[in-house]
Amino acid sequence: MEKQDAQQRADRIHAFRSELDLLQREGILGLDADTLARVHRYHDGVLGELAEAYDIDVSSGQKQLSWGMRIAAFLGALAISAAVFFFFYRFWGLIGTPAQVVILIGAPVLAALATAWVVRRERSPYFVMLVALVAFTCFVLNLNVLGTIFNIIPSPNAFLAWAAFALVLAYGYGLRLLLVAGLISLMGFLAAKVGTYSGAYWLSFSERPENFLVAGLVIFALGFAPQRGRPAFAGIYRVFGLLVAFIAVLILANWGRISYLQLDHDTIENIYQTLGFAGAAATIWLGIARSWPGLTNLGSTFFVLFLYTKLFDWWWDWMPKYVFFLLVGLIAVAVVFALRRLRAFSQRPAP
Amino acid sequence: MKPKAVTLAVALVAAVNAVVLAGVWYNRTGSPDATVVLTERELPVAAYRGPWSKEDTGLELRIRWHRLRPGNDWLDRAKLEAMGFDAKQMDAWDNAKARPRAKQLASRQVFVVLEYDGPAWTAYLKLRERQLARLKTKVSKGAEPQRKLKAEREALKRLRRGGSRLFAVDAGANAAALRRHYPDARHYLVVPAVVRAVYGWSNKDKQGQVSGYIRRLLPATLHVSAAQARRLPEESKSQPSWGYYYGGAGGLDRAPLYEVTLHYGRRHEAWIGAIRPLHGQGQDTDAAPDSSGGRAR
Repeated sequence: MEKQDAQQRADRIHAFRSELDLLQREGILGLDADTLARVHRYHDGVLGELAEAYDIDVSSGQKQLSWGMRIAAFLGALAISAAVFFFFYRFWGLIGTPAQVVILIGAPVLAALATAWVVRRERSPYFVMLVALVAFTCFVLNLNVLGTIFNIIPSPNAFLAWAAFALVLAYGYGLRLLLVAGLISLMGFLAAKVGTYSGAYWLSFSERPENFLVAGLVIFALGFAPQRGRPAFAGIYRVFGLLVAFIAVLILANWGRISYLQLDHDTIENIYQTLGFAGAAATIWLGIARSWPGLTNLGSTFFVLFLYTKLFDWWWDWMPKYVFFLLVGLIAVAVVFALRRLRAFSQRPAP
Repeated sequence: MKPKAVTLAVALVAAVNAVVLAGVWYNRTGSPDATVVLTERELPVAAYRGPWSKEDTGLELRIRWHRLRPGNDWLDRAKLEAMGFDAKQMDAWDNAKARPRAKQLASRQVFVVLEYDGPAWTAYLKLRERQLARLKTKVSKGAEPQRKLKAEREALKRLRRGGSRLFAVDAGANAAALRRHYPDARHYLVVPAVVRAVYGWSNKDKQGQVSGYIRRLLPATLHVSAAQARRLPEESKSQPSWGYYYGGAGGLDRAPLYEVTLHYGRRHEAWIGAIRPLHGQGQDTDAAPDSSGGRAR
């Protein structure tokens, strides 16, 4: 069982207790005091065990505090990573090359060992996330500064190494933030590689959004692969991959001249606009069909974005602004109606 | 699972660093591809290296080199095609009846030949001298103001005294072929660089021309170790080369203070062999017009 499963079990117990309480007060269900006490004792025991083993939130107050801790830990991890970065830059000019190399290699190794140590000592994931992100920063700094010291020609393979390091920590300790860091690095590597297949210099990969479109779709596809004991990670792959792909399509739908396609720019923009609408609709459908709310929200957001950019193209220049915004508002209302009907349809019980 | 993760992470760090350091070792073993002795004119201290350079105690030297000059457009369509740039797109540009919307192709990583203190430098000085002579004639006829002549004289003086003598003279996708063509490894460097194909359109003539543009060398700056940094004269560190780098035809406003032995290895990655201060040796070459390609520091 993972922490997420434990939390879901605890949430189900709380929901059961609250519903049981309501049914008893309304006289629909009557359980004798002995049975009720036995159920309560059993659930208290389960909650205690889950809290002990997984450090889950057993009350709504704890849940709110957990969010605060998560945000504080994330900001703390960013700040400490920045501190490591600037500390090194502040003193590295005063250190000889062999010592620089030892420090650069030693820092991520020590931070990775520290992550394993914190995991053994600390049940809550916040400190683990903090130390693991610092380890990742140290490894990024390691390769980056080593490249500077030895005047090495930049290579996209560094992104692959960073991705592998972040993914090892993410899967090893169940850290979603490290998974996102790993996916960003993997996206950089894939986009650069797709760019170099066309012969372009790898650092020019950002000039062609199709590089990111391919990288995003590859990451999305990885979301369907078995997740080695981390099933909750699959959703992050899918949402992250499609987010990257949709951003690429949105850019190409408006700036066809930066596409690989050797077609008239207006034709390219039309192709990507169509692809954007179709892709967003398919994403909403997939999200509903598979009960993946993340995909449904992503698809809806991009459908509206594609719609609004298209409306801007058509109407902004010639239409009085009050009419334009009125129409945009009315279309938003229509979208809400359409989604409400879709929701009602999806709630209809199966025959 | 958990102990396995940390073992994997540590092994990954060790393996990746081993590969990187093996590459560095390979680059520096055997005889270097080129060894050139340059001066502060070509390798000034890079003063600005990012938004936090004020807190950065590291030192780097920026390779100061001249890009293509008008009338010296060797990086033409044929050269670009040989480097692998899309001939179909360049054909489309050539056949365009109106100004095309796309005016550049994605950059490619190639090799550029940098010539040090050779015919390109001599030709450039002669060009600048001819320009000065033409300006003099115009000023004497009253067609140009006197202050313009004064500024041009100062610029030429600065160029002779402290301007870089490194010129990009050739480029190609194959470093070995370039080295065969330029076997003098003491005056010709084969350096990785990023090149872009661009299309310049003349609205007046309703036609355009494809040309190449060297965006940057890889890397553009060279790391100076702590031991080497101590060999650099303090004055060279305190005078930011920002203006020098971005000043186009500019140069140092004094004689160079140090010389650097620069090596390029088997992987065409550079390293600084030695830095020697030029105590009193930095000759002010302004006294004698040097358009002969001489080896004055």
